[in-house]
Amino acid sequence: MSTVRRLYFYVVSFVALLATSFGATSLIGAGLSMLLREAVLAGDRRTQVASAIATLAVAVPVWLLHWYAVQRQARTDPQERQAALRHLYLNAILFIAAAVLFFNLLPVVQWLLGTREPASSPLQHMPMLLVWSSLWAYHWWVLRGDRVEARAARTLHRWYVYPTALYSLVAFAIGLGATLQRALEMLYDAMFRTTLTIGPLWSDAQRSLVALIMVGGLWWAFHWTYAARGDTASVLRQVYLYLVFTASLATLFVTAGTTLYATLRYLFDPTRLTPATHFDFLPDALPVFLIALLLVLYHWQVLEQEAPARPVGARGVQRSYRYLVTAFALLTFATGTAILLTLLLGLLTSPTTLTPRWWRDPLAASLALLVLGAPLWTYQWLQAQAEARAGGVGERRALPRRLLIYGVLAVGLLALLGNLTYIIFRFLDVLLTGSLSTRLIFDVRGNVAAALVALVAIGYHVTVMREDIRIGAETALRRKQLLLLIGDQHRELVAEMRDALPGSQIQVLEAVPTPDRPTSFPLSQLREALSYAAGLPGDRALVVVSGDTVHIYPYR
Amino acid sequence: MLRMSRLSIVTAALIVALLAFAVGALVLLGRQEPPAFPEDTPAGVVQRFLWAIQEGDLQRAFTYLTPEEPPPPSGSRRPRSYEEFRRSFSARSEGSSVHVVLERETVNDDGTAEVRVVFSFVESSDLPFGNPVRQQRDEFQLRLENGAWRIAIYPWPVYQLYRQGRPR
Repeated sequence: MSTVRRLYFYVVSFVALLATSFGATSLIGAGLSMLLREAVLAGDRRTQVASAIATLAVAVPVWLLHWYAVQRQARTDPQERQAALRHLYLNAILFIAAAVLFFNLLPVVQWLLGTREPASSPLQHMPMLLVWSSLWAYHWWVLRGDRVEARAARTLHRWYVYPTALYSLVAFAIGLGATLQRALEMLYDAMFRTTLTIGPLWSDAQRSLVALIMVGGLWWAFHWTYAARGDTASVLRQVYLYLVFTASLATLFVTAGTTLYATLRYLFDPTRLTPATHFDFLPDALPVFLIALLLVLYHWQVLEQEAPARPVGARGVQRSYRYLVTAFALLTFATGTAILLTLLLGLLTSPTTLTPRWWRDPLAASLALLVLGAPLWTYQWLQAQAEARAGGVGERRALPRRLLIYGVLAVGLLALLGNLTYIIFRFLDVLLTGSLSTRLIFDVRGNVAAALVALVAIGYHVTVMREDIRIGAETALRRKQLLLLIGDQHRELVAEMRDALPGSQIQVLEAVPTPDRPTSFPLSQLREALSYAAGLPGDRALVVVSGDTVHIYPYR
Repeated sequence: MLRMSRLSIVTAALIVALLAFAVGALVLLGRQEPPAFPEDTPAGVVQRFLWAIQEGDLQRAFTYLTPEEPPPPSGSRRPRSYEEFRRSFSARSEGSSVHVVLERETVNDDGTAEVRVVFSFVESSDLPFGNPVRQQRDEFQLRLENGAWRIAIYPWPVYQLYRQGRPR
């Protein structure tokens, strides 16, 4: 089937199927409403029925006709079963169906749990559930029958599985965290505070949380532990894992930092508030901390276990994570240092008019930031440097690394210039008005501290930048276009070579193996051949793997 | 694969343990009636006012308010009549759960008092992707009227308590 013909069939099938789902939902809704003798306050059910039947009368034959045609083709043609457009259609339906089911199942579970909210009435949601669960089940069955093998088909399936797993995990974590938060609040109140009145235990809000835990948990368990099982060669899986891991790690650090800051504030001045009032944020912070910790530990374990099978293309994902966390940690570390320096300068030059314990909050903030930021930055940056040493020029040319280094230089320079300008202005101002005193140092202590921190950060990153340049990170590379005709089994090598030959633009044509010309070839030799092709004169080269030979044709 | 299964089992066990803890704490603590404050204290009057609203007994709740119309301070919640008081509760959501804890009670020499409280709400409006639990600090202002404390100003979260019913 030609691409245009295929596009026609799947687009028409998709639109007709959506129209069918609207018609069926409307008809079932009207039927249920009449069956249960629901009172009609406005509108007319007969109009609804007429509209639904009209939609179905047109949409169902169109869908059946087109779907029958593509299925007949798919049964006889293995290539058709692996076509990207077919899998875009199937996975789009699965994704929409999973989302519709998720959002309609929540209120129905709330209703089953006894909610009083009219919006949870199953009458409103049952038609959607019936229609879309049937659509989901049928298309899942079709997809299983296709035995997804082609790369594009696998990728499209992942675009359904991982985003669905992600939103259901978020919903599950919110349900679990909020339930835990409520329990801890009640425990905290019972232990440390005086309760005036308690709300109902089994409120509609609590039913919503339980529904969220059940539906979110079910969706996540199905999509992550079943639909995505064994998919370790996927780059999107790595994106999912690093995304959840990074977001959870950031949450963990923010919660830990807040708790540490509050604890230090209390230790520095225990008389200002009662402990019960001072620490009343704990029932809110602790569940977030626990859930984030659970997510970090689980996803870290999964990342560790899957590391040996990790695809080469996932190296970029890991690198982005590394430099993102490094930037976050550096910002935390630098802010903590600047606050501490500000405080030290303030203590040395403090005027007598300040309130007692004025140093309490800045000291608590700086210590909290330093305790978290310094070890995290040290660990991540040492890892990044070790990877840069091992990875050579390719690693030093990597976009995340260069973004971090030049980002620090740009932000640091702006901070340095801004603060220096202000310090000089204040100095000249008091000098010209004849009011020069040590008070000036106290007034500009924050600017001095920020400028010093920026100076150190710039100085260090300039040495890193120079080292990278010396190794060749900024050397202009001749852009070379390599067009490869290779088998699917060599895809991994392509991702690796894109890293190893940063100046080359590699495009791939997927060869179909034939009995007389298999497309397999020793990877080590192919690696050498590609490096050789990249060094040939001319801007372009065609690399063809045919049988046990690699042909290289430079062209213009 | 075996290690992965073990990891899943450990994670599931931790989730179940957290849930069991949460359910246990909610069931044990959520059914306890909070101790009643003496009715002749500002906190005691606020507590009885809140209970009356929770039970939907607005007539009784209205008796805890200052009898005459006070000078109109900014943000005053004191309605002029019982009718106005009753009407102000009519359109409130019944789906949330609110519990209230006492933070501070201050009795002044001029016959006034402040009762500072923390309202903890659990609401489903922001779900499925927002945090449904939130806290808000607020203050009741009371005046001594004929030897009894009466509420002159109450904060808006009391509307969320309406008809929730007290746990028995």
